[in-house]
Amino acid sequence: MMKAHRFLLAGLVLACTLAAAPAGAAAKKATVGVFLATTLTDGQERFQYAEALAAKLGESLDRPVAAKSFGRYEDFSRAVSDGLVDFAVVDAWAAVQLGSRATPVAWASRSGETQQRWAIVSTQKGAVKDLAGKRLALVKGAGPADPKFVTHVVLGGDLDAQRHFKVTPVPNVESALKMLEAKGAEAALVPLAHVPKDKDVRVLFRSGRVPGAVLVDLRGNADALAGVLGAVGAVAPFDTFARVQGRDFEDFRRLVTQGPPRRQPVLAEASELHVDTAVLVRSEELGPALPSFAGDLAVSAEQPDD
Amino acid sequence: MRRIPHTPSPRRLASALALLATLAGPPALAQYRPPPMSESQRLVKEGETAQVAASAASASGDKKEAEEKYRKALALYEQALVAEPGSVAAAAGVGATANGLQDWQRTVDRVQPVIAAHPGELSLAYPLGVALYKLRRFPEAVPLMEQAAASDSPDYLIVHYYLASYYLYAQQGDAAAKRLQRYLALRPEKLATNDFQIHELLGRAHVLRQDVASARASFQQAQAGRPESPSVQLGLASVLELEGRVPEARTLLEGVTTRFPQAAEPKEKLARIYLAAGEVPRAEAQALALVKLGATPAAHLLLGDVRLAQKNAAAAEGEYRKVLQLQPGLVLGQMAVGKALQAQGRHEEAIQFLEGAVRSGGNSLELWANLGSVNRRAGRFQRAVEVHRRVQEMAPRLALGWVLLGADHFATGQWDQAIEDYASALQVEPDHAGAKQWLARALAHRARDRAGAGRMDDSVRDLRRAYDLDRTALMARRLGAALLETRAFPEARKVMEQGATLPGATWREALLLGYARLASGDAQAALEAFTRAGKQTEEPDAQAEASVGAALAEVELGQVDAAVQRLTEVGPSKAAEGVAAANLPRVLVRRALARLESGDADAAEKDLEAVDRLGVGKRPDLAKLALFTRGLARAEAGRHAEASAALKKALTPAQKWAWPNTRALADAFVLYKKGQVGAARKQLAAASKKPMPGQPKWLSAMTGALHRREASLAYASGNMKLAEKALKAALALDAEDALVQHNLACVDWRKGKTADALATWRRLEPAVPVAALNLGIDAQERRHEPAEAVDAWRRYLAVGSGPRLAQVREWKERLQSLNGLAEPAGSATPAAATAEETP
Repeated sequence: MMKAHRFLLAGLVLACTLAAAPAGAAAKKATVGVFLATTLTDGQERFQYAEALAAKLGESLDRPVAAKSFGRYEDFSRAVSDGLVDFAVVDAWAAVQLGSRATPVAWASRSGETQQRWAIVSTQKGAVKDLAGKRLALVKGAGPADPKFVTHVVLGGDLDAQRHFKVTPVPNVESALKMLEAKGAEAALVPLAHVPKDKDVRVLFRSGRVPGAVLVDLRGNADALAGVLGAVGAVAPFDTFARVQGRDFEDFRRLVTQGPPRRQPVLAEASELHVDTAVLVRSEELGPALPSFAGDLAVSAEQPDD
Repeated sequence: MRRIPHTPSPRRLASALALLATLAGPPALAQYRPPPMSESQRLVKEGETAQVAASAASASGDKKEAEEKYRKALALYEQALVAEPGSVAAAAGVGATANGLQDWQRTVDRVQPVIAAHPGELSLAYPLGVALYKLRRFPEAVPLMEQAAASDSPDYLIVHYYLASYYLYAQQGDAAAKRLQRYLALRPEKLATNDFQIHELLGRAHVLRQDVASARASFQQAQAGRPESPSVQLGLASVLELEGRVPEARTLLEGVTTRFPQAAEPKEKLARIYLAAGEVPRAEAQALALVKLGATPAAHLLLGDVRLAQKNAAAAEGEYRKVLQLQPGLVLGQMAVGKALQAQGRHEEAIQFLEGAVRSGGNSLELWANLGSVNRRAGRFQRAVEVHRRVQEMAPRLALGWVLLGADHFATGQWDQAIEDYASALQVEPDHAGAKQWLARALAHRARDRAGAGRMDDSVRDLRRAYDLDRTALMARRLGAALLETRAFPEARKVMEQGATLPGATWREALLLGYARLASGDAQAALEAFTRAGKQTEEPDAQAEASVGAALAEVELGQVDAAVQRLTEVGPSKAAEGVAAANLPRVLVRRALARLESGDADAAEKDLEAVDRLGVGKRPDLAKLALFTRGLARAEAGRHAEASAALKKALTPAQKWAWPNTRALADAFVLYKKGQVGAARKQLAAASKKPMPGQPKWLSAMTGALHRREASLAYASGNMKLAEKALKAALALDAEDALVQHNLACVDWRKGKTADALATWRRLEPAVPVAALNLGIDAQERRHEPAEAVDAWRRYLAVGSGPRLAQVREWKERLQSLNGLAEPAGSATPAAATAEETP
């Protein structure tokens, strides 16, 4: 964390220096923020990704781009509020919590996947139902909205997380797993990909597929940003950005905030009615085209003789 | 045309004359009456006395005395006739005695003037008839002899024999047989010993009548108890020939000619058999032997025929001329010379020769006929017609003249006249086979010309007449073809059904039968005919034509895929290719329609693309139908705007292949597909005002589909009131519709009538799998019973088909995982265990 702070400070100094540079000599400097508390577990990895992405974006946008990597949602959120961040790559659930401040531009996919599954893990055996009243370590976001993500998205509306668990906020996946190890919580919610395989951790529940990381615009430059995504290309560990199509993100936002719609009975569909040739066409009018039989009238050259 | 004169042999004539002499006397005596006697009567009486003496001398064998007495009698009768020129008795006496002296001409000269005043007088008719017969003036002799014969008097017995001989000569078998039978009935017992001769003649008469059984019986009677007679054996040979047993006839004659090397007639017959069989060297050997036996006209005629068969027309001419030297004016010889000249290409000479023969008094029908035909063959049709017209005038009661004229007109392609000629021939001789045959052929020629000139109806009329005359497969084919061309399909079928079974019928008749059946709406029978046609030929072209026909039948039978396969792999025939090309687009359009009946828009589109590539030729109706079908395919594929445009264009102007309400129905269908229920219903109502045959069922199905579609749209938008109304309307059409009942329960559930809904779903679950899905939803959403929900959804997923399977699987697994609900252990138990649990 100390290291990160130092880099952050250095980045700020650099940003100030550049901002102080005479206007017009170069385009205004932009900042790309990275908050991937549940997608990239390792802080160093997040930092390196932020640096690499900033460099690529800078080349593509033909303007200097600085990187800011955030370890906690409140730091990230504050920086956004302060207008210090122009674009950001964030966990999708966090992007929802940013609300209208963030405009989704593209999904950051890994191994061709823009979605991931989540898991409720525990050191104990049993079902999720058995964990009633137990502590669940959960990566912290805006706070009150966090359990909604769990209830509505991860649990599909079939279980109310806030009522069932004692939600215990943690800054990131690493800390959630550490909390479980230290018996600070009976269960933790982490992306399935980050469940440690060697340790004595059991997966009690696997969620459906949930959007992963998303690139958002925070300064109304979504179109410009979208325009250079091709040039930016892949930045490890992610693949090339994939544009957010149609209402994908909005549907996700509604799912997080409002939960899944109530299930309604489904009508049985009768087979479609098709045409009936005889009903539409008088087929006797479409009889075969007969060949000419004129040749069969031929006569022989035989002559009568006596 | 060839006629061999059967003149009575000298031996037989002599015996007949003896008979005549024996029988001629008594009637004259019977006419004696007492005075008063005129000079003439007195002379007659004296003449009679001399005649009696002559007869007695003749009977006692004293020829000299007999002749002397006859002359005396004749002189007395002639004096009597001079004294009274009209005296019947005197004339009869002259006739009897002159005949006795074989002075035939005198009889004719003296008796003819008298009989003119006494036409029915048998005592005159008898000697005059005999005299004319002896002078070979048959046309005059026959009526007189028939008069005498009709009296059945034993006095005139000999005329039966003469008449029979004449009738045999004239080839009139019936008349000859009748006379010979009368003779046998009337002849006195003492003449019975010569009956064998009569039986032989009777056998010949039966041969002419083609009555083989009677002929054989007569010949066998002639031969019975007598040494082998070559002439009877010849008769038996001709019976065998008549029965078609030519080899046996030949063997018989070979035996006879060996045993009787001097018998001419069997030799001639045998040679003719050889000639007919093409065994010219054997025929030549017999002919040469025959000539050696005696240089008769028949022998040289035969040798001439042999030479002609040896292609030595010049030598043949030599032989034929010898015939004429031996028997000048012999018609057969004259015709033979003409023939030999023609064979040498000397047409003009042939004509001149026959013209000369005709001029020099050979006033024979045959000669004239031949002269005309020689002219025809030489290309001088005008002269041929002139000469044959004369033949017709000479023998108005024979078909011959008309037949010859028909042939002349046929040769020049004057079908109208040829047809008239042959028809006239049949009026004279209704059973004339040649006239029938060539009338039919002339009609076929004219029919072809008329068809070529676009006069199909006239052509059909000719061929109907031709087929009536000539019931052959070939003629049936012509008539069938013309009827097919005029689209008179039922009649075409009738004709071809018969034609295809006539002897000599080929694959082609079967093919036409197939088309006639197909066009008259019997595709199954058509397919059978086409299959038969294919089997009746080995020719790849013909097989291709049969296969294409079969394909057209298959289309009508709904075997469209097989048909398309056949039509796209036609084979070598150009004709078959043409038929396939003319039909393939239509067949593909029909298949596209069939595809749409099962909702396969892609396959339909593929067929329509194939139609585009092939083109529809000169069939604008088909182009419109293809467009119409494309419209339906677009509607099926959800491309509604394109569908509407295509359907509108396809049905403008109105098409013959469309029902009056097709447009409204097609529009209703597109609107249904689009989900515009109200508008669809309006079109459907318009179309239903006057439903066409076969439509009501589909109209009702469409009404139900619209109700269901309206219900599901209303349900999706939350309008339960409308959904309920629509479902109830659907249920009114079919109260047993489980799907509709199920969906109505969904509406009930939404309206809070959950208990009813649950009961309905539980009842319908076996028939409607979605009911299990909905039971699960109720359990989880309303009653919060995850275990029950998981169970219901497991049942739904087990069926494996239905909406939202992936989502339901996720729901189920999530509930299982959250609640620790594992799969029931029973899901893996063997079937036997389950069976025990459910008694």
